[in-house]
Amino acid sequence: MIPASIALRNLFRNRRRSILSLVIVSVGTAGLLLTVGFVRYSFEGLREAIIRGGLGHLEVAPADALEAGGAGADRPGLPPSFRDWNQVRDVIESRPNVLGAGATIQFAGVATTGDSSASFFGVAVEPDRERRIGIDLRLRGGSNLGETPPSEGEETVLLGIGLARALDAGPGDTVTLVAPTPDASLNALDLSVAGVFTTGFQDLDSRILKTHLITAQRLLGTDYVTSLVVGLTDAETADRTVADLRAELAGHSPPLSVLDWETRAPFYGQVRSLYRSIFVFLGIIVALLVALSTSNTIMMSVLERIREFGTLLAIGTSRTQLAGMVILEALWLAILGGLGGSGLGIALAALINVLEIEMPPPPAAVDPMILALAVVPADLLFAVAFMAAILTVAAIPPILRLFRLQIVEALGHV
Amino acid sequence: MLLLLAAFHFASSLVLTPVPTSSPEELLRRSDVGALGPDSFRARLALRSGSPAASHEVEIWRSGDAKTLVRFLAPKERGRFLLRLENQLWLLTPGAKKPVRLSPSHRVYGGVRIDEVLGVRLAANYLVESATEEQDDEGALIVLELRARSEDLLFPEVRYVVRVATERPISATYRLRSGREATAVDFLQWHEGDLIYPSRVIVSDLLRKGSRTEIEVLEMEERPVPSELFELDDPSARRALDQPTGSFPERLESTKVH
Amino acid sequence: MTDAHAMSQASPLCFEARGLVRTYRQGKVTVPALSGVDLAISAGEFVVIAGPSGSGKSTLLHLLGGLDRPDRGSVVFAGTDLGSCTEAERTAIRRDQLGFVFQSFNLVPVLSAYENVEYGLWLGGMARGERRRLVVRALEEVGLSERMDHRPDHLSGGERQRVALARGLVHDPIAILADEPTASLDSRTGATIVELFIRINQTRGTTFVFATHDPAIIARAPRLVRLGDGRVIDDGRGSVS
Repeated sequence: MIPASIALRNLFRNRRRSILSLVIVSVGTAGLLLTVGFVRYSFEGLREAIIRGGLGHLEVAPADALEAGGAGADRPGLPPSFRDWNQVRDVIESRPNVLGAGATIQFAGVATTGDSSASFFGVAVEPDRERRIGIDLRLRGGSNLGETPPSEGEETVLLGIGLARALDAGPGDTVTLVAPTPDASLNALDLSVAGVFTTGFQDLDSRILKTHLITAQRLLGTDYVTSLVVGLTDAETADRTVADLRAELAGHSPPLSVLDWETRAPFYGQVRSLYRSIFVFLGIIVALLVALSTSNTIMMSVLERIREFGTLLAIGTSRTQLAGMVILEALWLAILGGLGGSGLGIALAALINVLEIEMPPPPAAVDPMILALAVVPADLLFAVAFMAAILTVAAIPPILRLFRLQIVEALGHV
Repeated sequence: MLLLLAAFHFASSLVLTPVPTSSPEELLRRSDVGALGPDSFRARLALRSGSPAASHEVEIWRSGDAKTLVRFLAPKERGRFLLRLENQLWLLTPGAKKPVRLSPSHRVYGGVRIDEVLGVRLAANYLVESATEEQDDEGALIVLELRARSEDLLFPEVRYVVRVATERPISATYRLRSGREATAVDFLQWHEGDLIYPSRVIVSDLLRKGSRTEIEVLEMEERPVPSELFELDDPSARRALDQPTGSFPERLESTKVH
Repeated sequence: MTDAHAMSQASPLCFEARGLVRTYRQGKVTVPALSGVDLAISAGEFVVIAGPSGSGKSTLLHLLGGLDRPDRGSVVFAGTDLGSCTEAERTAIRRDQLGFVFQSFNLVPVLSAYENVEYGLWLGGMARGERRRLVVRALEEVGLSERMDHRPDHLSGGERQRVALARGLVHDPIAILADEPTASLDSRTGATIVELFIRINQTRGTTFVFATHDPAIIARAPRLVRLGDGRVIDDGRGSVS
């Protein structure tokens, strides 16, 4: 005598109603899975975009610079202050899970072609390190910066697509950058436009330019850098590596800060909490819908069996045991519906992924988004567990009814 | 660029001869740092700002009100010039083939729009609104409240404090249209001799707390300055300044060196 | 001193009901079901409670079985005053010491004959092997050993009632309470079932309290208690022959 088996048999006493309930639970589960899949895909996409867009997994920089400039990447107003970055880089790159640590300088100034000028936000990088770290460049014309540092007079630059438009400059044109130097002076440098790129964000595209580290150092008259951007073999090791590096670099003077990409991209956190609230809201709606409709089904199946329950009480079943039976039946609904919904969700996700449905660009973004979903096994477990929780709640009203049941009345119930 | 404007300010304020006071207008005219400098000179200045203080040396060549050349003397700044021709300001650097035009109101340094401060001839551009007498430890002062004659000036008001005994200014405070104080120039030391000029000046950017630049005049000579130095498109004369010997400056005869 | 009390001196009492009053409410109308019933049933008796519909037979059975509580009066079952028991205690008594047989068999449709009989033992936490032994014995006893894997809907009415009886007796209760157990059966089947009840009463010594208005059964009653308007109007004693 296995209670689970009895519960399952009871569940299918009214096949039609149970199937309807299963469909509701399945659709709810599939809906949740698709939402989770979409949210995960968006997070992963955003994370990759952020990391591969130039932020890397970690950043190491003098603490005062990070404090003064805030956690965000946008701190071009400060002069580069990282003096012994080469030695620190050796320390960082000796770790096995580090792909590379690229030095960067963030700077700002005015770009001019003679005819038109625009203020810019410059990021100077080491292209060979960027390639090793896996930082992508979304070129929209021309070519990337060369990997070897350019000699003087051969300097090149990549313009954000909006900045290129503002300057009316394209590959092959010469742009002069004017920037205040760390020693309170002003310098200018002619750069040849190698290519035009996008960050994916309109706002940034209208200001950003990218150049070689050495170019920015020549322009600013410094050997220092702003920070080291570190790429890891696996994003999941970021937290551990941050902790390790903090410990390892603790004695450094001046003090260094080690920040993970999430801290440096507060935008990601905001997007994530937004998505999370949307997801919670959706989850509540799904939970309510499923709970209300299945609670009704469970209630009906209990009311139909009032005399049976009366008999079971009469022959010595406790009310708690009866409640357990009802919950078991509800759990079966959750498990079967959850599994069915998981199958449905996976199938739909696969279909959606294959179709590559194009969505309009999100606010402030440049490129349209491909609708895609990332469903992982843990989601299936989560979905089934969530449904189990909902159906247990849904079983409460029928169970309360059972607790109020008078045996004699129930036995006389037809 | 605060350095620069301070330098210009400085350079325009060379000779001051004490003359008995008559009216506030007369006092302004006599003490006008911007109007009384020699027409043509070369000066070498040390500019110090920041903490710890970073020191820059610049050389200033000036010919009349319209033409000023600032030459940066630090080794890594060799070949870099700022050239002012009338109301145009140009940056000339070896890294840029063509001169880069800067807006005179461009916030180039310390958040200051240099145009309004640079070479401002107070007596010519401002009216005395009020004159009050004050005292400090060293004696009587006249505080002149100046109002711009033209609406176009960035700083419509200046508070100009002149020491009565010497008829030399001790400070000039420039105010924005909002009434907010933007820049203060304090004249700390004066060079005495044939040429009288402030030898140490502090320029404070009051919009950015703590942004102070100290200017010290290391050399000053009144001399004719060849117009080739101010050729925008022909850098050869300017380049010659950086040649070791037989270079351009030596071909010119100095008149006075202080 | 009542009859019942006198009897308790002779043989142990299985049920002792005193002054049972039970009224039901139907909307705003109160319907008296029992209006003061005294009844003593000795262990091993086979008592038929007869009376027309509404005479209070079922109510009496419910009160004796601890399924309901009287408004007044008391029921002592096997020395235990049911009125002073908690619900859990009464549940345990029903499970372990009482058996119930209902007019409509009241089998669990999703369980096989075997499982229906096994259910109560399982509730009581009995080991599987012991359960099997008892269930098989009970089903053999009611003559259903061949059909123990069938579900109720594949059994005839008589077979279902045999299953119900097996369920009622599998745990060897002190007493079995049967409420019109033949009412849903044809007379021949009903007679067979009654025969079965009587045989079990004789072989196991289980006390039977049997509510019915079936004249055939009434005619065979060893002890017949007649109810009318919620009172005992006749308590004829006899012995099963």
